Amino acid sequence: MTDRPYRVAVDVGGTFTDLALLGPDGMELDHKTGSTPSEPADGLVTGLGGLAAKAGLPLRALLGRTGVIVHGTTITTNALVTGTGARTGLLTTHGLRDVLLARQGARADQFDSRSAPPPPLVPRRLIETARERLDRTGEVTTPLDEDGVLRAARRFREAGVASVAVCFAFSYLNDAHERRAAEILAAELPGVFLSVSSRVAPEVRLFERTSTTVLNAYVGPVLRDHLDRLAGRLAALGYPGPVLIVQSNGGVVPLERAAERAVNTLLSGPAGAPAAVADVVAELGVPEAMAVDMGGTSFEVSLSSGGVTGITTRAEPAGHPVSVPMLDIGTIGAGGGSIARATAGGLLRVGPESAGADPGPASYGRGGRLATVTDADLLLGYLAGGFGEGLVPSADLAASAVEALGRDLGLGTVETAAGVHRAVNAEMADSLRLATARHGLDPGRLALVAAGGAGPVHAVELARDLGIALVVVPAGASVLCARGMLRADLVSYHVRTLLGRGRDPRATGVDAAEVDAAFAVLEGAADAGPSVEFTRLADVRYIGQVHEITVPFPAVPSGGAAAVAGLVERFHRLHDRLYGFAQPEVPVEVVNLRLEARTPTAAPRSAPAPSGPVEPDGVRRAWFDGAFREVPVRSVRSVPVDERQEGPALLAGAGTTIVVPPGFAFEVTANGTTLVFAADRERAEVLAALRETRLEAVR
Amino acid sequence: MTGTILASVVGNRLHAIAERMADAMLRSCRSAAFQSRDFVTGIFDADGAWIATKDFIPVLAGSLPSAYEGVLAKFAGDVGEGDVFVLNDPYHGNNHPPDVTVLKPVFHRGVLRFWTATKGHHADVGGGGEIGYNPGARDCYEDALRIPPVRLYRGGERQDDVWDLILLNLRLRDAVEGDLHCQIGAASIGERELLAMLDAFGVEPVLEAVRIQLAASARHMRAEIARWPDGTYEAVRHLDDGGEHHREPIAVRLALTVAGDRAVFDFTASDPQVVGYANSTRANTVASVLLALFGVTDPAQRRDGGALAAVEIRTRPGTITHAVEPAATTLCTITACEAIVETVWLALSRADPAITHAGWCRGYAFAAVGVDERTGRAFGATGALKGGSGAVLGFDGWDAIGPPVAMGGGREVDVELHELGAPATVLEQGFATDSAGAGRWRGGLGGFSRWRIDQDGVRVVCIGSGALEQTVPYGLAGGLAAPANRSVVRHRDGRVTVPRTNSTLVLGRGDVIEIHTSGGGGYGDPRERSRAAVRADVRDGLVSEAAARDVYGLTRRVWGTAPSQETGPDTALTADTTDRSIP
Repeated sequence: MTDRPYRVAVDVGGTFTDLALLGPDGMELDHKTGSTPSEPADGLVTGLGGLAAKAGLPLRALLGRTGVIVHGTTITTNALVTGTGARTGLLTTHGLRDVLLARQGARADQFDSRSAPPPPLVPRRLIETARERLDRTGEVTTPLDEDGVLRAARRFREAGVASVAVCFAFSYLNDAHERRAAEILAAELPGVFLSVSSRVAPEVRLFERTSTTVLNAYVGPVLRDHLDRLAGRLAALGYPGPVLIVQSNGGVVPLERAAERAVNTLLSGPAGAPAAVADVVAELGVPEAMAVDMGGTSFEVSLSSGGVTGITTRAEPAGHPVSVPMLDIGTIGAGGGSIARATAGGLLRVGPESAGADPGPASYGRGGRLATVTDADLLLGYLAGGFGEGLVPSADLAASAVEALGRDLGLGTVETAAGVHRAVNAEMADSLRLATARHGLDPGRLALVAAGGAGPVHAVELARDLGIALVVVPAGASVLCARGMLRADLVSYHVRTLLGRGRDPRATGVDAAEVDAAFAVLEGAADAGPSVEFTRLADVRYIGQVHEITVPFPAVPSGGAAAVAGLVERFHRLHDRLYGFAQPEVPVEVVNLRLEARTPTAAPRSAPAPSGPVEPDGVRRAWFDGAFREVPVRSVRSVPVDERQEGPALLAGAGTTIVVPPGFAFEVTANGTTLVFAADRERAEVLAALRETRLEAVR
Repeated sequence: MTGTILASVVGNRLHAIAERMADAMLRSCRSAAFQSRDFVTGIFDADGAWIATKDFIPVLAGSLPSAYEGVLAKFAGDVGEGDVFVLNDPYHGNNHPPDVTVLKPVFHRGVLRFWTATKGHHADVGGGGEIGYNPGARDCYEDALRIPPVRLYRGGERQDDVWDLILLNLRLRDAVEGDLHCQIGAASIGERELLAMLDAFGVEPVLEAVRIQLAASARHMRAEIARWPDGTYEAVRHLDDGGEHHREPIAVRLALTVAGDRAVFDFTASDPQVVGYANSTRANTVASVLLALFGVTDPAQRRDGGALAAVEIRTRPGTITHAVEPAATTLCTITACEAIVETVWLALSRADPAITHAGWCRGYAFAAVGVDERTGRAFGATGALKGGSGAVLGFDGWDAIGPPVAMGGGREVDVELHELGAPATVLEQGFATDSAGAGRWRGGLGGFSRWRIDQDGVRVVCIGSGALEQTVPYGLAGGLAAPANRSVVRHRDGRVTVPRTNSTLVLGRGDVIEIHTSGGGGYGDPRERSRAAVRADVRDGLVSEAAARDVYGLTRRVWGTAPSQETGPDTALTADTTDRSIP
């Protein structure tokens, strides 16, 4: 490691490619460059060159001294959102051809009949079936019709598919038919990407498993081709080391193993944030935090508890359910570009429609006419910089858009702007309440970490709404994800469904021996090195319930029955907190067991060197407590370290403004992290209270 | 903060609280009905105004106000902190007996400020029915156990005598007990969140915001109505029958008068109530009109008491749309609701078809109940893919989204979870070719399902309508109607029988029910449908080549990938009736 002391992270987004470099002594550099969507590797290599220049090294020399490159990519997400994934076929059980297309007969926006469902990733003409059937215990009741699989293969070949998903009913209990079908397809369709449900998402629920397997097939070839090209480029530049790909669960896997589980990269970009948050909260010594990232079009929230981030198996990117564990990143359509309008009833509604980057907010002068959150923030005087290169937003254009909205609402322009700011904060707070409640967390006991261009503008008001005592804005908040990726752990998840598996169907309760045996199977499958840390989780419910709570097993040295008893006790307690009741007299059952295998990163903690220019301090008029007042504008880097300052103030950092209203105090740490808290409290007191928080959360 | 802004903010918060309650219910429920989201939540202010809702099944939501009034009629002045009230009786404010309503008063610093409400379709409400439906019921006593408004908790203490009295009358008591807990738990979560909101904003500002919100909702609905052409528009739609004791179609007749921003829905000319379980209570009729309105107005319209106040609904006691005691009513949220919704949409189409929808599928369901021999546990399950929705100007209908009762808010039980929970197997479930009404925009597709019962002596009800010529989903503006709901039972011994809609069967191991559900009606002349869309439908096996030629007027054959399999009996599976899953 010593001859290759550098770590490099590259976060390729749709618009920007962010890079971060971690040096041997904790020194960090970052660099931002434009993405090149038609060939993402181009922008990536250009970015590496820029990063090397900042480090004062030729690119080859930097790569020669780099021990690992961590890569996050939105390439699969973009393929999904733009409908440019692989031409995909699906092979499923005879009789159940339309499980995927019927979407369980549900419509997200119930009353909107003037709309169409999300376009299917596989058209019906490419869904083939084979006669085969397993019963609810995994026993074969109809053997696999291999000729039917051959016929399907022929049709797939004729249709020119690049990828095939295979998903049979109850295959999570017995993968024999799927395995055989995959063998036949592999032989018949050389070069075609295969996605098999019993490998990708081996757990109960046919619809979700099919959707996950199809998504994996749809984006798999896209990721595979990208990574092949990238590996070639890096090799040509003389980089011999490992490339790790960021997963939706916040961990990384080696490049060679990423494409087969491409569905695991659908949140690869935002998945870097929690690791960065973990680094920040480690600096402060607080155990629980919630990260919000508010950009141009969306507002994303993720939770981190005890250094472990909230995970969900119920995500629905672009309306397609995914049942593999992903960071529980809640997204609502609230961003700087969110459009504010008056309803026909005369009330204000912000979002979910967004002006996006094009035409963008009215003040950008690119043809947008409708008032957006950014326009309101600008009129209120909250934006002290942080716009894109060369962009000087027009207060006049903002004013005329907001004035027009005010006419519909019967309000003056400034009142309307303040209303938009207030309403979008409240909407974000509502979504945070739901996100935390689902994990059994109380937002008032967490620290709020704010990132994204618009996050720090709104964070303090948001915290006030939620009763949050501390807002944290890390240095380099605009490249937060890339910084997080520098420290991502190797993580893999393994699942085994117990429901319907082999035991007496009349039995109730949890069988400790069965649990231990299942975890032994999972640990074997994890194929991990000596420094691995296992976390055992169980999806638990009352007998007869439909949904489960994912409960971590308590750490009991003896394991076995004591661990199970502790798990059950914890389940009753969490159930009461989440749903307002518990039924301790009713037996519980375990649907799935989950194993998280985490190998911690060897990366050192950050000690960022100052970078970038110090912007001159000044004053500007900003709207607080119902009036405009003169408010100091300061560069974060000009604030003396660890010295308490009082609001109101506007703190200009890289790419954003931290709005500190009156009644709040702030301090900047040696690492450049800004802390904001109520002015009637001391920093030490706030941190001490948060450090005492130990929440029992579900995952 | 100005009142307008505060009302927007508080309105969003109230909606978020109603959603949080629904989220808790969804994740803690037991029955297949709750699992398919057959429930709603609501919030009332202390004056009884309905101010927020999460309406997975909208027909349940619009009748929340009358349930509140039912509780008030009995307990006004006798409501304490920590109380919980429950009711299901249609003649004490509830819509129909299976939807049990729970109401919890919310006290802030000792003063009653709000009520939280949860309402869901229970797996069992006694009487002679299955999952709440008894096609043989002649009156409300045979329909279900009648629960008038009663106090289930007093000052935070459960009244075990009342609790036991209810549960003792039910075969599926574990599921009902779990779902009652689920409802009460969610009502308590709503209470907690409302109290936090009052603490954050202060009582007076919140009450002011609520007043502004209700007025804005009424204004919003009136603005929508004002866009319709003035006039009086009539429509008649039918129920297939009223149950085992009334085998004749029953008419719902509407005269809709639009004048400026006012709309009057007059159902007084509808047929008399019948001996049978299809009668609609007034509460259900109001809820049905409201959902029909929400289906054709701005989706951003708040669904609350303000919107309800903007319209007038006239009914006559003793008719099918305003049943009086002792009429049986358990089917009313399905068939009567659909007929009422259809009269509203059809009447509006006479003002301007562009406003409204072609006919949606009618509810047509098979539900089985019993004790699972494998597990010894009671089960309730249904086994058909739902039908499609009607097309609108500019958009095809949605496939398999079910009747308008739910507006797509329901969610089918997963095939694997279904088989794990009930002794039945889904042999086949998919879209049926040509099941949608043709049109320039076609209806959503209906389904074909083959459902095998895997143990003897299982009671199965067939409920719903849409099996008659006059009750199929209608087309609009030159669009065509969709085919009828229909089914056959292929018994293990080779007999084939045709189940009568609204009847109860007893089926045994190996018997297979084949169910066709309607697609939605079409909108506009099918010959004007985009040729590319017709060809795509043929390639996908959704429209037959014959229909493409004869109905859509496609002159050239479609080349390309034809579907590799037709729907239809899979002989291998049908023959295989030795169920290896039973120990």
